[in-house]
Amino acid sequence: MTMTRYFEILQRDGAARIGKLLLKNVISTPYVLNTMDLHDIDNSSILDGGSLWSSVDPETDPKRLQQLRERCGENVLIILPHRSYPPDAPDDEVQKALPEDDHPLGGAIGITLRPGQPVAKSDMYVMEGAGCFENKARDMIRGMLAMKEAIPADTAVYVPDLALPENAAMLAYLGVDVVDTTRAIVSAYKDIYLTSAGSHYLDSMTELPCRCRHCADLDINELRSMEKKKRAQIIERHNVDALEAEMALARERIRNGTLREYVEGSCRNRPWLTAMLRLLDMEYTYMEEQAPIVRPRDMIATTGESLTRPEVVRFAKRVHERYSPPEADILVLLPCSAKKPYSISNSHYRFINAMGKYRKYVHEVIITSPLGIVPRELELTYPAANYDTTVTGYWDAEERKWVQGCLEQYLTKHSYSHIIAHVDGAYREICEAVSEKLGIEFTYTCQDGVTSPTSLGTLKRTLSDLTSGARKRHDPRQDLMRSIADYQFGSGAGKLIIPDGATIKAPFPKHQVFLNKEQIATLVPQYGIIALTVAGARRLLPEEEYIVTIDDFVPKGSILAPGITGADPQIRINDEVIVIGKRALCIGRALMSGREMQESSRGIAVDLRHVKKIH
Amino acid sequence: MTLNDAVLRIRNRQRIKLSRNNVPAAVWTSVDHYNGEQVDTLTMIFKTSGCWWGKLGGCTMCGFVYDRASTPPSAEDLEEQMTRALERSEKLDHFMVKIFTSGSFLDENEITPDLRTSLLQRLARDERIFKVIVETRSEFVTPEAMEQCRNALGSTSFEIAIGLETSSDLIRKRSINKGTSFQKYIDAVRITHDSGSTMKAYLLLKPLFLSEKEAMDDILGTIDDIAGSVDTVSINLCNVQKGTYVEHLWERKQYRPPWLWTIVEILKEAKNRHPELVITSDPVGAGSLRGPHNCRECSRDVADVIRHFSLTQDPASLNIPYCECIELWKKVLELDDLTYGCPIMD
Repeated sequence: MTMTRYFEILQRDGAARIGKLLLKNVISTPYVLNTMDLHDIDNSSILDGGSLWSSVDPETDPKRLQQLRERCGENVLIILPHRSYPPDAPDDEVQKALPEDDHPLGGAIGITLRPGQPVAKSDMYVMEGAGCFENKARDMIRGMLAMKEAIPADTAVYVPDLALPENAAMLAYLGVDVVDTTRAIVSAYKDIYLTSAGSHYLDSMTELPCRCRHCADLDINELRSMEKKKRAQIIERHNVDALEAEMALARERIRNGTLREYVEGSCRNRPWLTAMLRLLDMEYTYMEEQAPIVRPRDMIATTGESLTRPEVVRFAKRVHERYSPPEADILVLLPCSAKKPYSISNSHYRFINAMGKYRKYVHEVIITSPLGIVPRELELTYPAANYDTTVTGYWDAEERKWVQGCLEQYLTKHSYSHIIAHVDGAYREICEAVSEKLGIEFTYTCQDGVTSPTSLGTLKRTLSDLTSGARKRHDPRQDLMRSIADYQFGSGAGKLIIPDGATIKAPFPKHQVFLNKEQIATLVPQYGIIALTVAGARRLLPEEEYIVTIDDFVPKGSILAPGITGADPQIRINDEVIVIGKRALCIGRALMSGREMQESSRGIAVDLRHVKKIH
Repeated sequence: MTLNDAVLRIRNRQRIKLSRNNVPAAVWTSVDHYNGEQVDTLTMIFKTSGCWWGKLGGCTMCGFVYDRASTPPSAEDLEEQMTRALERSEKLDHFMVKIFTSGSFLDENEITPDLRTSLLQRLARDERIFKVIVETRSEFVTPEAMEQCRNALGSTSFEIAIGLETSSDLIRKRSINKGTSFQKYIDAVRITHDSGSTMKAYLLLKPLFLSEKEAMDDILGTIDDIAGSVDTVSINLCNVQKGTYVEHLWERKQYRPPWLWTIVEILKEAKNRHPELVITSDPVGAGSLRGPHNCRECSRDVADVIRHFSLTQDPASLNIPYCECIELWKKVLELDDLTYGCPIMD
């Protein structure tokens, strides 16, 4: 494992992260580096070590670098002398340009890295030829993923010569930590005025769509009539400010966990950025690993890509792979509601009322976009109770296909003696398509809207006819807790943590699980996930999952990454994890993914809730 | 893949145009600088079997390889090529002859020693011709070959032109893929001078991978390195020729030909440092996207200034009226060094 002393990640939102470069000046990332500062030896925290294309004397160059280091100190990051190539240059040439491993220079260093090439130790990696990836979504993503795979998770990534206000948020979303002002400056000298929604030639503009300090009192005609140099300098200041403002917004969205929602919207300004989002969603493994298990914010699902965002796909996958339905003969399919959790909505209140005493014979599954299907037991579990979507009554083909696929997959795996679909409109069309495809009969109970007395009456009558002789459900509250445990810790975990003798106390949704008068677990109502007690954690230990191992010490409050000796790669941000070492058993919330825990040399990995000393 | 593999892969996709072996690839007349005067020049490009190095892959910017003959021309064919070329000199009464092949005039596989003697003797017999310049790779400049040429030419001046490109062996190897070294050039200069002939060096402004500033500094450094031994320096501005590796990267927006402001700056600075040295540059393809260019407004005028300077060697002629694009160029000089691999495009 490599150690970086000069970069620390403080917060994550998918692949994006808020970090700090611990240099002469502490720099908050994602950061817009003023490109010319790379030459400002006396003031800048990041310097360029120079190009090896210039006639460099191999004898004197190390001496020159050492002198630079002595002059600026250890805590200035020096990008080692480089011989850079554009992306399509032949690979053999590039390899020869790589600096040796363990550079003798000392202090903070950066190296240029070409995706696919061996990696030398560094605190920051500069993506070689990144500027050539403009408009090349596929190449950019391939390059970035290859780079991220090759470098430790906690080193900084600098993408030079690519950032514009329109793409800054997307670069942050990709996991870029440093960008620069090269394009913003060059644009200014081409009379191109930049905004977060795209670029404009000054000639074709009627007014300046900006009130930054440089534009506020500036008349466009005045600007146009200025001599070139002065004009370019003003546009440059605006362009750089626009870029910095956009990056500040991206940082803010990362801090509150909503960068995804922002880029789903802003990527529309440029086709290649939209392509980038779609292609990134296809890289499910990379994106899902970094997507938190819960977010402290609602998930806004308003675009086509909402169907493919990692949290949505993960929910569907876990329902399919980890979830086991309670024992029941009758399935009732219900439409979703705007209010969440569904069961507290008006419509579901009526459904539940209509089902009345028959409810204990049925299993309920809610059909919804973009999540597909939500078993009643998981209606609290993020993002089922935390999404907001566009409701028009119209479902597009992609939504239908996705939801239909989820339902089809579910009914292929689980069978019922009767399926009642209390749905209408697009929901019904989806049910009909699945019914036809699988050759399973559905009973439809809606005539004139799902909450009309007639429809509700039909639902009630249908159930009363079917439930005689049907299996009665054992304990829906236990089913709920077990389902969530399975969803969270893997299938089978529910029965381990909540065995048959356990009792559930406290009303929905604040259930607590007790076994022999000892508390095992609590349901966290906001996110629909389970928090374990030490006793609960002990019950889960045999699964050997969601475990972080530490050295021989008793931690206090939190676990730092360097103290970790092993971590389950299934662990996601905000997951409930069990920490075990020779002297302690602890429970806490993961602040980084399992892989990052293994690779990182800085930062808080687990925020602890319980610490139990053991001997 | 090595750089040479990459060049060769592109070479193998190109076809050599079928054409008659007894017709030269190109012939033209122009006016050149010579000893402070402007003189007529007849330039002839011979079709030969071609550059041995280019056929194995060769230089990243060179598309002349495809000007070679599809089958090796006979001695008679080449004699006939010269006959046709000389027909273009009818209106000239005092002129220089420049001979290029798509490879090396002194390569015996392209032009046999006998044929070489015969061709040069024909030029020596023409009293209107006062100087002959031939281009060759440095490895073919041997005392034997030079003696033979000198004997054939008699009192007619003789100049060897070599595509040195740069004095940096790193750039020559890793960017240009020239397959030779600075030392070989120095050896060739000595042999040339020993034989009583003069040396002209062609330099290449902005080979692949170099930033605008690195390219400028490379040429200025090269001129400093060779000023004491060379008789004329001619700076070629890299242009994007068909079927080259440069074209491959240019099509992918990974190469930009040099700015004309860069060569103006080089000419000013180099002439200032070496006032006696003849420094010329023919901005071939100037103003086009494939050629060296500034903005659309000024490229043509600036190219004319460069041509004019090449004839007059007068530094005052390099004072060019202001064009707005010079401000962008100045920024490119600063920033192109810091893009880590991607050229700043227009």
